[in-house]
Amino acid sequence: MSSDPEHLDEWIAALFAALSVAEPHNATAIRRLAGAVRARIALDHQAASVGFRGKLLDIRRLKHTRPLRPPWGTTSRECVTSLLCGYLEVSEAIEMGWLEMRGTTNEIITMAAIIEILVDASTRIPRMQRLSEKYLALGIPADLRAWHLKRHATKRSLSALERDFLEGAGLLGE
Amino acid sequence: MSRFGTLHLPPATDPGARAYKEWLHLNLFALDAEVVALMNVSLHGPPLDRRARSVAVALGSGADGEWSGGIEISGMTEARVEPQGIFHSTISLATAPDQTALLASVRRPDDGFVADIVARPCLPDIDLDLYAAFGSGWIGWAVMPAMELSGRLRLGDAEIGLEGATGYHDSNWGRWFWGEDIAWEWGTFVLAGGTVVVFARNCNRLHDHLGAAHVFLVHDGKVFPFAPDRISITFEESAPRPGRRLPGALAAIYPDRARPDLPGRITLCGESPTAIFELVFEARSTAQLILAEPTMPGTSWINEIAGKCSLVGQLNGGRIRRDGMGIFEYVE
Repeated sequence: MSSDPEHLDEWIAALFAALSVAEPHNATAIRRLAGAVRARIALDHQAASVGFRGKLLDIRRLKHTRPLRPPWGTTSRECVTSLLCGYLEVSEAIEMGWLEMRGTTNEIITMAAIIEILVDASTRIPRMQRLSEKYLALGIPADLRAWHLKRHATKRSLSALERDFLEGAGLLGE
Repeated sequence: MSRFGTLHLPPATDPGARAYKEWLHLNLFALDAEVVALMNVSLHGPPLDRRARSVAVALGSGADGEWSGGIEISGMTEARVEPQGIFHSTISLATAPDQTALLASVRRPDDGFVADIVARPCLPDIDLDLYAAFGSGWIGWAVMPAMELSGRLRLGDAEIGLEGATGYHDSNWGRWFWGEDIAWEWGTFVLAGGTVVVFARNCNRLHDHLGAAHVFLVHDGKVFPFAPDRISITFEESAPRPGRRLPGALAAIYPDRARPDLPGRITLCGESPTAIFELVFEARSTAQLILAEPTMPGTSWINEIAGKCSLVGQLNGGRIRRDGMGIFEYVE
């Protein structure tokens, strides 16, 4: 029987467990940031509710058919693999609605800060890197490169149209 | 015959091993196709530490300015590291067993980069080994500035002809930590006819404390060196923002580095008793490599700027005017 994570709650639990062992000070930092707040996270059709009970990570699998209560963050496997493979910037993911977060300003900042701690720590924690490799080994859901090139071509085309318009209106300096 | 070195792996008793860094680097310039590519395999951290990393990168910029290629990262103990090279599952660089060539292999079809390259030095054995203080430690540099290339390269849907293409190979090794106040500026410019210009200088991350500049020009099998005080370099305009930032996970947490302030036009001049030249480089596309220190927090950014260049000059009394392509690294 495989011990590899399958559901979103298992992936999150495995990442935090690896962090807790290798860099407990960062696990503590995440607990302090989260405080008493519970957040909902959804990846495609899987969802989990995440919080802390004292020092322990308290994570519960959710039925994603239920509307999520803020604070929440949602994304897709296509978005995550595009980001990991360097074919998508976070700003682009947000602009296109591939990555959404809802909550108060502080709640959103907190969720982003926790993600930042996890990713930064992963560069020093082999177990977290292996989890990332296992996730990518599940398969790339699309031709990411082709999609990336198409998006860039569209942006270049729009930039050219914009430049032509501004030049025609005499709004560009020499 | 030029001499290829071996990796400078630290022994287990080396007290500075924690800061160990080393790489083998190969650039490819196919002027007819307007292609610039880089292949690099590197080691970061103490070899016996399970956190130590081996990183392999292959990136190629085509005439359309798009970057093909990707990055592979593994534990240093998982990659095959041997004295003559580093072997990953999709990117490998190593010296040939007979020491006459550098071999590069890239198998990343999903990223649009497939290659098998043989690079042979064009120059007789030249002593271009340099050492310098670097942050908390030091850095060594060995260069083979002009390489004859053969093999195959496929970028995207295009098979790139390597006849007439020129390669550049160097290796760096030493002791420092990513995230320290260390950086560098380095460029290689290949002109038609096989003329090559190399520039390098260490600096701090803000690029306002600059080390001595090293420039040499290779032409007709001769190397023309230039004294640091006879070199000038100016930066103007802005390079395009990086079209690829790797690895993607680190790019995601550093959105503030998505639009670095990079030079779009570089003018490099050098003068010596036997040579004088002016080279102008215009940026076409940029890629960014983000390097994290594996045993403690710390990050550095290597911006790779590809573009076209033109050179005018006088070498040993003969005038020269050439066009070509180049790549410039601006590290922060």
